[in-house]
Amino acid sequence: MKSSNGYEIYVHIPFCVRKCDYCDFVSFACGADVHKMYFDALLRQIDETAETVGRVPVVSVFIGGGTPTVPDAQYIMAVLCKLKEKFDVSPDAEITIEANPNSASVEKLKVYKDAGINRLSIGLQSTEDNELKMLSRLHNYEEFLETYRDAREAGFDNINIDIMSAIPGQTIESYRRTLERVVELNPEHISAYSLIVEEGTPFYERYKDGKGLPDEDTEREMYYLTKQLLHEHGYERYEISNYSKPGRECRHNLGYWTRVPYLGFGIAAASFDGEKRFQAHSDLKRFCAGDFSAETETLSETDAMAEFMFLGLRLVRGIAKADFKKAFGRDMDEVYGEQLNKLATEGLLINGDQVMLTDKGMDVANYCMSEFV
Amino acid sequence: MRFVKASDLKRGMRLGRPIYNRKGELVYDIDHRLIDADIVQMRNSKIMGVFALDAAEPVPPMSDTEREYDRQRFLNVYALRDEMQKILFNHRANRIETIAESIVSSFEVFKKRIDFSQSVRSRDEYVCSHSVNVAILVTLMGTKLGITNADKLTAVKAALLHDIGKYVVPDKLLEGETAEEVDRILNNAQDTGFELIGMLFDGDKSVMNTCIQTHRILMNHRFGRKNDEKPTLLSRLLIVADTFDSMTAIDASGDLEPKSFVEALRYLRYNFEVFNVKAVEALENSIEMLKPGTTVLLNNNHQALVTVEARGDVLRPTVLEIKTNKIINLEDMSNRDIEIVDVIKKLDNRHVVDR
Repeated sequence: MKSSNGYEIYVHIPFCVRKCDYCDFVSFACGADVHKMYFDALLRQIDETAETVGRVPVVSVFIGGGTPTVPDAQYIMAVLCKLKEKFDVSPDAEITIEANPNSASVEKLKVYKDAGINRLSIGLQSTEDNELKMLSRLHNYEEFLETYRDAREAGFDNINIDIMSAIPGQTIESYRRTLERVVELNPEHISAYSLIVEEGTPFYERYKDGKGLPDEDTEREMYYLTKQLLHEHGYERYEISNYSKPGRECRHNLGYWTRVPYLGFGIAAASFDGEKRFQAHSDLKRFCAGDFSAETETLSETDAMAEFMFLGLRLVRGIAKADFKKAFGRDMDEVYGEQLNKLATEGLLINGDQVMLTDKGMDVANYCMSEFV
Repeated sequence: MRFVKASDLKRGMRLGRPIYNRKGELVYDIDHRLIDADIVQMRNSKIMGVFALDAAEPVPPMSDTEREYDRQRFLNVYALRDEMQKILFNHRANRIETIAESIVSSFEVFKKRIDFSQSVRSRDEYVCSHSVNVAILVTLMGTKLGITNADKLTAVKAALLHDIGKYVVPDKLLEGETAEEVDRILNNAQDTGFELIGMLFDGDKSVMNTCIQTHRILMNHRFGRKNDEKPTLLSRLLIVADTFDSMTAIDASGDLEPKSFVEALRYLRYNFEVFNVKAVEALENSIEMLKPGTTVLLNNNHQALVTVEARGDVLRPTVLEIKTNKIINLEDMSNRDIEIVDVIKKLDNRHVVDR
């Protein structure tokens, strides 16, 4: 792999207490034996990768899942120790772990904090218990509050809360309650996604015809409400679905959207060396047996440029033409002049040295991105 | 304590578990020393074998509840055997509800883990004995998971009848057939059996559906076929209980050594895509897996003695490594690489009495 100024690291922990009905991530409900086998393999994979790429600098670590807080916290500690041993993890690196209420006791949270984790991302989704039930989540709002308080007590001063709109049965009023209650807690970061009914999930079978889901107008209204209400409370949108207090943007995600190279560990994790992408297989048992193979996907220059555009335009600050030139040795206008002009004429994009979507452009982001694919 | 086949029984051996007759009367108590006449009688009654104590092995303690549990098990096996004949010949089930209710009421009261060591089995009572064991296990597991009484009864009836296909086919029909042929015959018989179950419960298909789904998922697993089906709660219990008892019980032929609880539990845990993790945990909380006094083999090839039960993972208790005389708490992260691989059956349990 190509060396770089700094890598990001993603570690996939594919364990859950039970899989939620809408989830299409790679995760399994299994017991302690399998956890141990997986982490043993994970530590070996980190060793092997370090032998290939060397002691590269690391600027952020994201431990995602599944629910990384399900297995014993000591395992997570072992993984972080290993990463620090094998890579040059920056002392001020952002180290995030995803957590679900109910699976993160205060003792566990303290272990994470001691292990050097400095950012926590809690999957709340909704403050309405009936909506949580609808999503087959294993927690209620009260339990979330407990976890949130525990996290503060354990010393986490950088917390993200995930919330979700377009949940079956959700109304504008109930969604507003969720938003209001969340801002009241004053987290540093809020991710607000709308539910996508993915094929292959029990949700798909239930809602593939769209019946029972909030209609498109309601969904749109929820989207505007998110933007407005969070703005009023001091959260700035820096990406289509992500809001933060000033200076509290998720550095790991920012890196991903600006095509910083990353190393992925665990099943189904992707890696990117700046040119090629590697996608690991998602077979848990093969992984435990030591098969760390991944499929290599080489992006053509056209694809790489398109990706640069549609990932970068997700960010409110947009992309600098100079960065494009630096990455590909060509002028953005020469490659995408036609598309940029078209979107600018439609009032969806500002076409200066810095290219960014307008508010209106953000609202129809999918349409704008499709211009570059 | 170890299993001794009927053909290997010798005078002077002592029984490790009591034996009851069909009325629930005690025939041989635990620690009974066999005489020639006993051995002849056992062979005549086609008993496959018995659990015998090793020489100088003290009698394992057996509480009154454990004795009662053992007696109930015998009674239910006999009752089920009679009932099966009626189901096959008259297509009517008169007593299956009563047997199910008796199992649920006898076993749901066990709050503590119970010792589930197998008792004797004769070849012709094998299926009934297995079915009753599975029924007991689903009762215990269902209670741990807090399922309703109605669900518990359905699960128990399904457990009692899930192997009905094996009654449809007489043993001699299977003799001399290849393994594939036997599978095919049994599968056909199983279908016939399931149809029969469908007729028994006045239009309530839940027992039949649980049996069919369990059978289908376990067959897919056995033949390495992918399984996309999401089992119902009751099927999840039955799948785990059926597999655990089949693995740990004396083989129908009496030739194969049963697997230890440790080995069986690891198998269930490893194949998590088939054996639901919650159901497996309920099983772990229902029966004694590694109680203090059990001798085990560690993955460093040393033998050890379980001294304190684990608080979390039942397979990670505190042990005394015999060779080094070292106490090792397997729940401690620093001992994470040490694992119990098997239970050693031949060593005696003397310390149990010393406690």
